[in-house]
Amino acid sequence: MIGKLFILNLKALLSGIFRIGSGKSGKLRISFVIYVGLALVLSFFMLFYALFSSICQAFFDSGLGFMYFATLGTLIFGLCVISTMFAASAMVFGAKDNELLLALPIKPSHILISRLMALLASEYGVALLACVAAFLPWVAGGYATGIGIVFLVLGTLLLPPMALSVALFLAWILSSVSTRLRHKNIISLAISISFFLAYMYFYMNLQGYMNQLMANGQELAEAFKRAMPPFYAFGASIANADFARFFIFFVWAVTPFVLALMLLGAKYGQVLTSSKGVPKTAYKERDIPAKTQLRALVGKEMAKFWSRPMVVMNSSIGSVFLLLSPLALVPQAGIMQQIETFSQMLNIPISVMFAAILAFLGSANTLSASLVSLEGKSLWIVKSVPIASKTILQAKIITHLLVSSIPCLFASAFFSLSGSAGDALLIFIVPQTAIVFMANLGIAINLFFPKLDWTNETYVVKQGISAMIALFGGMALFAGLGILYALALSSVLPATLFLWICAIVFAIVGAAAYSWLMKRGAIMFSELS
Amino acid sequence: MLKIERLTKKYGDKRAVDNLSLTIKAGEICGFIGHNGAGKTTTIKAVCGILGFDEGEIWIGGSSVKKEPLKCKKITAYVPDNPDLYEFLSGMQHLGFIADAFGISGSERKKKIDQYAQMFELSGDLASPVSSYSHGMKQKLALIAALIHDPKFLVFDEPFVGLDPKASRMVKDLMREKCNNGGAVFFSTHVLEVAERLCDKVAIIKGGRLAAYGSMEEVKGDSSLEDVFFELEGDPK
Repeated sequence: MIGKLFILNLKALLSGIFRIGSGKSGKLRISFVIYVGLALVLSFFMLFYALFSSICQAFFDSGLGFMYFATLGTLIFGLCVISTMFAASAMVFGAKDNELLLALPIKPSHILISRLMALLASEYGVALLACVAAFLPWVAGGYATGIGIVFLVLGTLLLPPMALSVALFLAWILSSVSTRLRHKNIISLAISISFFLAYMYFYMNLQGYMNQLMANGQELAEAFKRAMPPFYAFGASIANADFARFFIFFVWAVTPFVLALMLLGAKYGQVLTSSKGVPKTAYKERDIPAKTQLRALVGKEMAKFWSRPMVVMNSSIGSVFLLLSPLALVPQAGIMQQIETFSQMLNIPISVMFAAILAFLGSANTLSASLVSLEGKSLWIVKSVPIASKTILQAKIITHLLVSSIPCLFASAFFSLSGSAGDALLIFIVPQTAIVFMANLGIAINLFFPKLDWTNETYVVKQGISAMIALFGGMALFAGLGILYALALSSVLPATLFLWICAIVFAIVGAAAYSWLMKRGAIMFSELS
Repeated sequence: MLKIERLTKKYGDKRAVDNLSLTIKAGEICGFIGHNGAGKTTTIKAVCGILGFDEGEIWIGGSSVKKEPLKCKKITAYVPDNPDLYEFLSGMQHLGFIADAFGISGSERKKKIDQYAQMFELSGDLASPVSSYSHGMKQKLALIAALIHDPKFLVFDEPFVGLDPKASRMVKDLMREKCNNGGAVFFSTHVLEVAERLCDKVAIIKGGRLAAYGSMEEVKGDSSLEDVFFELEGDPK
């Protein structure tokens, strides 16, 4: 039964990506999805490989080989915890089919194990990528040993369960907090953002930590050994082929997982059936102001957006960054220095750098690419009332613009303070055109890859193919434009002019996508069921 | 009020509804009966403009569902068999959204909401999120939302599932009242006794095709609707 439940959970995870119709067009879309998936895997692999190939020789030649694998261990652990925590909260504690499964003659512990297996499967994907990326420079540099390779494989297999036990603990806190409070969404969102910012702070300072480590190797290595013993044991066991260290790591990795399984397994049925319910709100009679259809639809979309921290965190992370971006202007943060250095190195005006960064952050929001799918099983409501499909799509575009444009205008105001009027125009307009472009394109993508039968929003905003295409497609587009300018156009075209041309292209393509949405897109939406 | 002509809906090669034709005049309640998977919900969704169809035509109040869907929806009320409502809104916000969709003024919507919420004993829960509602409460909210624009034509898919006896009785009274005021009702049900007592017309669907259709007297004759249904289905009672 556990196996069948595992397959069921895995299907739910994968259906967000692969269940996109049948027939010839369905097969074409599946091929497209596979290509996009492979491109994503390759991108992540290259990212990891670039990191490990840059630190491998330095660590091993300075006698700090263990730190190379400790970095790998920390990276896998951190990524697994972050990528699983919210999914675990939704799948393990808040899945819509919990009640259905509890009503069947299945042990609650088996339901739990099947869900954990699905989460572990996704964690192993991340672990494998990072492990191979670290393995190649290690072997190529001639530092690998037979025992080390065996420990690397075994250690990589043990890291995801260890990460999962921590993710489960955090998910349980998140779930407990969110079910007992009236303003649970705000609190969940605050917790999520705090956690994310802490991670980003660590990630942004990673290079600094690395430099410090190189400079004060032994001293910091000792500190690391004391502060993070499991990762020290993981690193030392592989780098030095040390059996004793591997045993210590084994205990560190297995103990929390076994404890989590025992505790949660024994109490899982109780956890799922001890719902405290939602506090009842007293109804007071009052006038109900009428709104236009468009305003009502936008209000509905915004209410849906704010109701789910998972949706906010996954589909509008660019807005979070945009709201925080003025902090970069604080000299103590050191970010301005880096931007200025890049600006001088590439011979690009600082205002162009600001505009490009804000445009990139603004286009990192993938909300529009999920808004059609997020209608889910409630789609019948908007289809049964006398609202034209194009009005529904317009409301979705406006929702994306509200979520993205306002934080972007806020950020633009700060970044344009010290420049000329022309600079300010660039900093205000270019990011907005990128946002308009993404708003329209995202909805068009979602109409081609709708996913309406989800049981949890995670499948749409995190694993949904349209969200993935929008996110990584946007990144690839910006990277492509940067490379195009750096390699081919920088000698013939000033950076400011190039950015204005980009803005015009974004605006034209955005307008064309809008026009398409109002005609063919509206028909496609009306055919959804 | 409703005219369905040679309606056909295919899912791949399977004909979920096959060449179905029926008419409901103003003042009539028509029950739609059939076993699970017979094509009832598909027909109802096609009537409400939620699901496209491959062949045939549907008219509501003289307007084509295909050509003038918004005009048809303005006079129609639809309640699905399993009302998946906006769980992130409160009951009142949900009703407000539906009222905005139909362009109902502030004073009119307040009057209607107060009237129906009191009738279905839901007034005290309207400020609570829909996610906290039971199935029956969601069904009641879906009914209030369907009635808020004073529709002429009611289309209900299994409207009595999840309702308490008092609310069921009210829905039946509302259906009859609507017909007495010149409206019409088309609803599916598995409760044959209810259909027999309430309906002026009955349509029995089997394998996507209309197996029997006409006034209640024409269809059942001297036997009961249950006997006719099982006879048509070819199942012994």
